[in-house]
Amino acid sequence: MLCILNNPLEQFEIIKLLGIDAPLLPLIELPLTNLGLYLLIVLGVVISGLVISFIPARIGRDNSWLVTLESIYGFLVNLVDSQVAIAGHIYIPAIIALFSFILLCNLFGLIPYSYTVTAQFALTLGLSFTVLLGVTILGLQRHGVHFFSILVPAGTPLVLVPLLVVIEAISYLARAISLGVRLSANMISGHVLLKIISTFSWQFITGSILGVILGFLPVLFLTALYALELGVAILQAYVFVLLTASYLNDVLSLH
Amino acid sequence: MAFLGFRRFPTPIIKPMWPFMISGPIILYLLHKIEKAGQSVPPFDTDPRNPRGMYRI
Repeated sequence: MLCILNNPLEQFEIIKLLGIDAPLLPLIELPLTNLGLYLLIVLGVVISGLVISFIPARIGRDNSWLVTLESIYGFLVNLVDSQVAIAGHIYIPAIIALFSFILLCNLFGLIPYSYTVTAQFALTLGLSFTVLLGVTILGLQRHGVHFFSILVPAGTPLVLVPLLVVIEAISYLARAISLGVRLSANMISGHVLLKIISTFSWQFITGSILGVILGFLPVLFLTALYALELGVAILQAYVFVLLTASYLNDVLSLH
Repeated sequence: MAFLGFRRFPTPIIKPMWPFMISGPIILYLLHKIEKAGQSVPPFDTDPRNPRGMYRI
């Protein structure tokens, strides 16, 4: 079967779609890969979605899409309120941009035969390290040397301080890795599971007469699994921005 | 910031985002260095999917 891939991880391979080779500089080329294409699609959908949703509002007509966007906005404002309080309101546009980007990348990945951008560790780790380095710079700018008190939990006995500083420093750096790996690992595992189950289902349905009769069972299971992956896609975008807001709160309030 | 003729909103962009604007290029540069290092390791340096390997062949 042409439509069945042999390796479930083949769907995450980066393929060059268009490439401009520069013969004068043989090691420089400007390729458009499937990853780049889906990033451009997500960017286009975010911008055109916003513009299209605001046009009926400008001419005084009701618009359910705008209500949806406002609901997402209200939901994220509540999230920032619960995590960072009023000091974090200035970061709401950044949180909304991050949430929209990750959510749309995750959802686009669920379209069959499309590409999951957020399954690439380079992208998610890049995002998470950018967030952690950004909040560290912010903390150093706000609190100066006192920022390092984040490494000593309140009420620590003096004897334990050297040990706890090392442990807290490792845990602080591990936040960036866990934030990026959590998103990618969830996307990869979900898509690989969908791929394996769908391949087995197809082989079961086309393999024998029993498969034709009972073929609806694996299809039902696959549908349930797909619904679960839809939930995971939304939940992971939420978890990413929730933890980003939590890290912002840590550096803004220092305990 | 006016966008495509829409209403201007006094949304601060530089003020809250400057730490992330610094950290973004730093992380991008480090990722690029890691990518370059990965491309020159023996099993992958002659891989046809690797543009540098393609040129080396």
